[in-house]
Amino acid sequence: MTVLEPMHPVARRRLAWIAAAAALFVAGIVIAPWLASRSGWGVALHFAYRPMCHQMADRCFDLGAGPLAVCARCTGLYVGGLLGLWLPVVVGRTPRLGLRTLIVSAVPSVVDFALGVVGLPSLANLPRALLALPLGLVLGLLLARGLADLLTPRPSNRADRDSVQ
Amino acid sequence: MQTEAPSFVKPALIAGIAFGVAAAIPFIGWINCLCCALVIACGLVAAYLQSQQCAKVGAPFAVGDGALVGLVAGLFYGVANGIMGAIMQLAFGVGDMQEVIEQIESSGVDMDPAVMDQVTGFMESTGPVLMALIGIFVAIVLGAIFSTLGGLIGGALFKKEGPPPPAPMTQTPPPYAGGPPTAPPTSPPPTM
Repeated sequence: MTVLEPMHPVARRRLAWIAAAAALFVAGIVIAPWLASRSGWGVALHFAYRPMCHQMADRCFDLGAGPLAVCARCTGLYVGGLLGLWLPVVVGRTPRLGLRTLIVSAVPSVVDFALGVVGLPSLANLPRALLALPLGLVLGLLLARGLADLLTPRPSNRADRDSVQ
Repeated sequence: MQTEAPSFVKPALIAGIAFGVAAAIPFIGWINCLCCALVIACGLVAAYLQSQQCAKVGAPFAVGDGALVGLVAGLFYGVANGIMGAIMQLAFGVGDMQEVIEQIESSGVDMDPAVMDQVTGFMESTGPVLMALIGIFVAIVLGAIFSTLGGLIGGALFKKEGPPPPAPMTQTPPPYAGGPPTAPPTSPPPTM
């Protein structure tokens, strides 16, 4: 059973900034092809995502301005991750997820990836993105939990010693 | 009293080198097309190994520890991957310039032919050694970023609080030394 733990208000505010930066990262995936058709900066932005994805045009969504900067699977992962970062900010709580949840969420994407590697017919872009969404969501939630822990202000050592005495 | 955490260098080294070398092998390295999955897994495994070390000595393992061991593992990953990639390229011609150009062309980006000529010209002029050094630098930067994320996720998964502090000792009176016990003095009755 998943346990929801409340977040410190300061950690929640700081996490919101990080989630906003992640939203910019995901927005860049969509903006890159539109910008590339108008400016060299768009081409540079498109290539900035290259280390993270093969960027094969037939595996990417095309919203009319050209293929997005990452493939459909990666799009699903990043959108899921963004949701996973924003949900705790909105709700004010982080879920305590275990390794089993991570493994279960990864199974659809891993199976889909493995089928492609062995040469079996692969899914269309939309189903591939939807299969990757759960894994992205769980990774985003785990990242939010870790960041919330790191960003929570700690009482000073002196305050701790005074309270013990 | 909490036990001091063991050094994180060994888990970072094991995870970094194992995943860095694996990622340079063509078929295994394709897993990185899943949003740098191997790099993230490197940080995750480093965090797991460090959490196990901490559990053995009874030390706590915090999320920040996971991020730190992930960062160091990412640096080792970058070096191992860069060197192994350079060896693969020089010895077997894997990932050579022509293959990179084909990948750029297959990405579907509407690139100006003049820009493409500049890119290929730059790659031809720098030579394989400088390209290998650039590859090592890029691998280190990406390894550090994504492996830190993996370590952060690992820290959230494998976090362990330390043992509770011991209860404070209560003051006990010193042992009685000397003659037979005497009755305690009684206070005089209050006068009206």
